Amino acid sequence: MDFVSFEAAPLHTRGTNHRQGSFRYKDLGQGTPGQRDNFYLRIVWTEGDFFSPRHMHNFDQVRVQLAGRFSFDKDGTMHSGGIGYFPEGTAYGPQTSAEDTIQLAMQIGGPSRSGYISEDERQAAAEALSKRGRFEGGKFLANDDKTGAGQDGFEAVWEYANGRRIKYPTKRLEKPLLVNPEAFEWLDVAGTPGVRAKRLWDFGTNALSCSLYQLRAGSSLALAGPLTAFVLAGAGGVAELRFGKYDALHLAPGESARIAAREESELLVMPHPILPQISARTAAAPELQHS
Amino acid sequence: MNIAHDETTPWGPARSVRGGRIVFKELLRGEEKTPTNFSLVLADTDVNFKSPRHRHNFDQIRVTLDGSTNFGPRHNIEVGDVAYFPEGTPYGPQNQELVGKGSLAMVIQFGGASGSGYMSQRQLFDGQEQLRAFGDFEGGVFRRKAAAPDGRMNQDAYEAIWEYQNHRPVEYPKPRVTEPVHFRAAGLPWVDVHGQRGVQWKELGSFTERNIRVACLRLDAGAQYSPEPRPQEQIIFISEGAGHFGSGEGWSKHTAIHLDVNEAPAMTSAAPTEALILFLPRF
Repeated sequence: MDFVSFEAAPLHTRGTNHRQGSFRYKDLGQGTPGQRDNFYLRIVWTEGDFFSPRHMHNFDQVRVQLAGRFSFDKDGTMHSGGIGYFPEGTAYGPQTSAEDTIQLAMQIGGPSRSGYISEDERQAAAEALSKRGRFEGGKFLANDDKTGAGQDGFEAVWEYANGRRIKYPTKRLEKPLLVNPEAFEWLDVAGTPGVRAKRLWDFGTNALSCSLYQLRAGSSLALAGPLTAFVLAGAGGVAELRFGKYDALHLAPGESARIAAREESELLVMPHPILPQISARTAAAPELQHS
Repeated sequence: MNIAHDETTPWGPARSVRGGRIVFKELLRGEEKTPTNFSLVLADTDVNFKSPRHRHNFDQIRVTLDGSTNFGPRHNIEVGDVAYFPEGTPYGPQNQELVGKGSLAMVIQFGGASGSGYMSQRQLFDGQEQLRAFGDFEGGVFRRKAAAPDGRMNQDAYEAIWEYQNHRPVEYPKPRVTEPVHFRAAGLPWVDVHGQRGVQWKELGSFTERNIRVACLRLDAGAQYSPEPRPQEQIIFISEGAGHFGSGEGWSKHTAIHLDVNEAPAMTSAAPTEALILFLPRF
């Protein structure tokens, strides 16, 4: 079990930035670099100067808009409280914000098993590339690039870190999925008094799924890994630790934990993709049972 | 189990609830006034079909069987795609002329997670005929001869019929997602179903607190599939293939099947078979 305290996590400013605009962040946990299900969770603060060109990933991403508003052009807008799924292989954007924003971002290796490069690997590659060119407007412009077209910043970083051309997975969805959790109904979780859930989506056991749980003060919820849980509101305990707003919990396969709410609490729970086996998550995160 | 076949079901008359000609063949229907009422139709859409931007108070799944189906600017459902239109989420305007030809599609309309239910095709077309006494249907809009009690002269055609049939204003659920969910399903990998030889599964996704779920099933010729009972009604649409259920009833191309809660008939394929499976919301 890996518990990360939001308050204790240091605030960083991204050094060499493969996107455009100010970018401050707190790390809230990561997986094992080199593994297919490596992941990275962070909270990001941006200002009105953020810009990212239209691009796609070779990993899965979930974003939670904690404050402010982000525009993805014709792919929609994320408002405060919104949750978005940006699956591997689906292009989106360009992305802009005209105001200060706070976003939670979860990135993890997706169904294509392309994996996910760690922040350290990304930073090292970006710094190495900055000696061969420059990052501008979310693109990498190499000194010896006579076309002037440049390359998507993340793509250039990934190719440098991995020493090979990036191969984008077949897209599952034509557009990212932007969800308004307020429109969902809370349903009681059978056999777990005081706990209600909103099941947002599930694209199968090899992709990142997402549910919200609401715990009444004094209630508790048992979780089994592999998953990441993020505290949207409330306070309580897990094992000997106290949790509060914006803290994160990561459970590896085979690990479990009981979340006990001291105050009414709301958790975002993201069961991790099971790679390469398909059937294992059935045991790890069974379908919600309605009472 | 309720089963219907394309070749033994007649086409209905041409309709134009919204705009342009469209002809339906209703293969299956559910039970009126229940939250999981549904209608499964084949829809033969002319190139002149148009529909204004609108939303539903029910859910919808669309699959293109031939041609390409437009559902908004730059949005066409191609053969192999699956599109999910959740209740409350606006889409369109639809303009089949952007494709340049008509299309044949399979459409399932069903009561969504809000429990608003679904007005049957019978209620829809009966209501449309009765409303003609009070106005005209033009381009997807109902234009009244005299103003409604709230002063409105024009209204979305489906909405006007729904309100006429239900004697109350339509209420749209808050949109759970901002856009229809458009799966590019053809390129996604099949996964072997553990312990069942020649049986493969493609999970597309499941949505809402009521677990509305879409998946695809593939059977090799001669495969035997023993599904597990599920706590949700299911609709199976055979896009290709032939075979029979344990009860002896056969399936062929474009057969549609409705399964009740916990109904799980064995399937034996005579020819390679592909099917779409929709799990209706669980209440």
